[in-house]
Amino acid sequence: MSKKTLMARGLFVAAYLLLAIWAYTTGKGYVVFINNYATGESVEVFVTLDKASPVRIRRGGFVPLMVKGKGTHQIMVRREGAADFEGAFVYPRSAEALSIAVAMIMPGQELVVVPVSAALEER
Amino acid sequence: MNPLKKFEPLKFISDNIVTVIFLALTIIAIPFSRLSGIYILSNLIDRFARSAFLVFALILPIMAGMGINFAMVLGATAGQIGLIFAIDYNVMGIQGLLLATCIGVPLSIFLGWFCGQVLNRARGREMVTGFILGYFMDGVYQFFGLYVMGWLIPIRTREVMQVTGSGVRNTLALGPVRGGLDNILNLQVGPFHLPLLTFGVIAFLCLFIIWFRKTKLGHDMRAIGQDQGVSHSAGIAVDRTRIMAIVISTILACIGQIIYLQNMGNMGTYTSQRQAGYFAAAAILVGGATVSKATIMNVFVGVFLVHSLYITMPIAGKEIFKSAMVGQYMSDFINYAIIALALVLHAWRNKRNADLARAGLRGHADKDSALAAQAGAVQ
Amino acid sequence: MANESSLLSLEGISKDFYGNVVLEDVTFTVGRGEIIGLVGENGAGKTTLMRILFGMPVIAETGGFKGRIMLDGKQVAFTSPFDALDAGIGMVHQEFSLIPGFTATENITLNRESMKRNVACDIFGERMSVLDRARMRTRAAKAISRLGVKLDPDILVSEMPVGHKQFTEIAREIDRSNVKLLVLDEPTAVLTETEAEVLIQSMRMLAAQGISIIFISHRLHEIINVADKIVVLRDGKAVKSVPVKGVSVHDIATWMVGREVKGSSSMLSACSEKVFLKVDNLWVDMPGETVRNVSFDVCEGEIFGIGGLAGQGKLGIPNGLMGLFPAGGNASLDDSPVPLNDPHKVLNNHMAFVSEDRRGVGLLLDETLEWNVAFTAMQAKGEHLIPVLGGLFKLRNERTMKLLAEEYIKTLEIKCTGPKQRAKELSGGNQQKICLAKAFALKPKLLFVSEPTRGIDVGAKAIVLETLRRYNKEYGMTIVMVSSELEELRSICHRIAIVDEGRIAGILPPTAEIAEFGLLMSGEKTGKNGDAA
Repeated sequence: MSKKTLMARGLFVAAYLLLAIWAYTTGKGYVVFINNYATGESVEVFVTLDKASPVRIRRGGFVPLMVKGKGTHQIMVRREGAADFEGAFVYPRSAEALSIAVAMIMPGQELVVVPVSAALEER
Repeated sequence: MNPLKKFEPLKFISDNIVTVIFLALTIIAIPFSRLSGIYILSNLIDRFARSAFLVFALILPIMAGMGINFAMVLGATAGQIGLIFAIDYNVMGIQGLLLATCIGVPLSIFLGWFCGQVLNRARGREMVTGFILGYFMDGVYQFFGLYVMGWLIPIRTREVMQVTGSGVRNTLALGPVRGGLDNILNLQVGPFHLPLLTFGVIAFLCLFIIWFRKTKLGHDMRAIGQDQGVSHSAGIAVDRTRIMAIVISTILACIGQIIYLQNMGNMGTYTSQRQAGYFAAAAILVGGATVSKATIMNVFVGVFLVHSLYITMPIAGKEIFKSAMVGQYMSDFINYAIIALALVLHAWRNKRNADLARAGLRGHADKDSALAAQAGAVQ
Repeated sequence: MANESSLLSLEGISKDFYGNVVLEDVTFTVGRGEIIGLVGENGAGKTTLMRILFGMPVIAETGGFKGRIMLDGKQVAFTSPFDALDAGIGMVHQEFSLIPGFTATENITLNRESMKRNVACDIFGERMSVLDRARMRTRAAKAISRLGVKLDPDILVSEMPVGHKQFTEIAREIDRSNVKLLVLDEPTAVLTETEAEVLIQSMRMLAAQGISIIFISHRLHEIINVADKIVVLRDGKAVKSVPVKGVSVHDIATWMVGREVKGSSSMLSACSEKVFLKVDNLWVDMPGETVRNVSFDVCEGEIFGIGGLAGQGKLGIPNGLMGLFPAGGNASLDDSPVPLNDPHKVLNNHMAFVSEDRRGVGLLLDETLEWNVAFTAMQAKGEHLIPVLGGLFKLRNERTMKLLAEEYIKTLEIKCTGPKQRAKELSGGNQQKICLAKAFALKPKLLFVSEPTRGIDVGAKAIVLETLRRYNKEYGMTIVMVSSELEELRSICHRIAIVDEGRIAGILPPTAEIAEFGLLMSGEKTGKNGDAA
């Protein structure tokens, strides 16, 4: 086997492994719990994460949604009688899960995300 | 001298009888189903993108003279194992599909190599051996899915696990990777939804096959497909080349099954791979391929025809018999019948060619014309 | 043409297969650009000699050979045919080894294709290179032009006339850059006269270009026509190695078959003039033994011999008439038509067959002798069966089966422990006798015997032949005997037909000169009954 052949094969295997690793790291889904716990005037909401289709959350309910990879993600919240909210949040590298309360989302304000372990301690 | 130059309608029909029967059935079923042309066409586009890749897996083994590779079920199984891991690790979208492929391909290479070894020991009976290998693989796969998963390899995601607490579910929802390929690059043309990336992958595969036929390996496969003895005496490594044909077929089946399932969105963990095998065999035969000759065109024609029948038959059945079940039954029945018909026709053609050759036993002049006629029949 | 320095010399080649001597001290040389005509009967050792030259594994597996092979003055010992090819020796086989769906170009360059490398080669190996079709075509055209024939490089082999296939094969061999010696094994056997003539021209052209040729053929006039030197093999010995000048076809035929003839026809019974079996335009599709167009008559009480070289169709005649292979034409026995393609009816029609395939078709190897003897009679005629419940079903009649077997064991002197012994435990000669007994048990009026003495020792041979002669004499049984051994046919037959290329080349009395038979076998002469093209 010539040196060139050996190198080409080495590169091929390396590229193959890199592809697998890249797919795993960037494609892994992480959970975001989105709750619509009642705080008075709360109503049914539709939440859209990234490019997924909108998900309905009834009043007082919560849903686990998935986002692809950690890092920055888009969120859009639509509720009756209010303007749509569009924003972004950062999934912290250290977090295993994330919780977002719809009630805490105010137009024009910073989005509040709570790593789940912290959220659990609060209760 | 050359019978090909003259177009004879009867001969054309008798040479493509499987395709003609299927076309006739579809044409009859369409008006009964009362489906609109747009509905049928947009469904066809979706289904073509879904399953064309799978059918391409069968071309190379046919070229190498090994008949319909029923053992492509092994590749489909490998693809499903890849998907189980992707779902269990919760890898989403195109990355999930790539990861499934990265896991499935090495597995396919191993399974294809194993299968090739077995088929080399069952020369001349490749098809039935491949068929039985598929059943054998079912056993191995069920052992893996039901016992090894959850016991040696822990299952992380509850949606993958059976309710009993071990093993992989019978029906696996592929939510995270659903449409992972189809939804990346889309084009809406009027009422039609075109998954461009999926089409791109299929086009790339076609180019690959065209290129592959021009390579030394592809050329050797064609030679072996026609005469193993001659190829061997010319120094071609017959056994190795046959194994390669099966390995490539298995890899393509693995990728094809992943593409198929990402479109479907859920997977019958222990049944989908088998359906893939039946479907692909039926499609390529309906497209006019024989157990000894297959082209890219056969794949396209076959996929369109089979799906036209799948779309229209259940509805037509519902309209005629007032029962969708009967229509569903009819399309399944026709599907299997077509495989049987094509195999019988192949045996019959071989016999007819032998008779033609025999007709010329008396004298050289007769023999030459019989051989020419035979050559025409083989084409 | 012959050059002084020899290219290849075979020195004292001897070979035996487990004590059975096939070649004995064969010596001859091949000069550069020289054409050697190699002739000999089947079994004379031509095939074995070529296998040794090409280093076929079968030779080493059976204990190698004695003597040495010198190529270009150096001793060579090939361990596989590919070594021989590398050393510049090419072989064109009797059967076409071409890929039917490939063009002439693709066949000529098969597995030596011109290729262009690409990136995929580094990762997946050289076989991912793309074929360079333009260069392949140029190479093919060049090889064809060296042969001096017209042949379209783009035509499919399956659409070629037979002659072009032969040229394609030869072109494939001379496409090798270093080819020095070509072995052509019966290249003209399948060709018409004109095609053969063109081939001979091509051979002269190749020789003029310095390529030596070993030309194996049984068409002797071609040998005389083209060869510079002639080597005659007989019973494993090179009996003659002479320049071709001044040699006649008759001389070669005599050298080929000329051995002592034992026995005589005087002990034969007289046979009537009445035509018993009449065969008209018979064809049989038996692989390797194709019968194309055969007509002959056999008289009542006659022993009719059918001889000829292997592969010419003599075995096809009885196998076709007995319905074992697809056949067509007309045949009648005692003026009633013989149904072809139906073995059962033929057996009911007073005809029986002793197959050349003793262990395959002839015997039930795992069954007892009585079973073997009675089996065909039971199946074909319903003998040795006891009807039960008015014939609703039938049981074997063990008693009559035993009596029958004992009778034949006695009359045919079969050496065995008794009727209950298994057929596979017997020796070849005794197995052959069982086959005869099985046929006799049908009490046929016409018996076909195919190669009755193949693979059995001399003593057993004599008994088998004597048995046939006795049944012919005492019971007036008409016998058609097919054999490759001419001597044997001449010792017991009334008339002998020689089959060549699926046709009857001629029918001779056993007293005819041996050279006459040789000429018929080599297709040099056709008798009045033949209609060869």
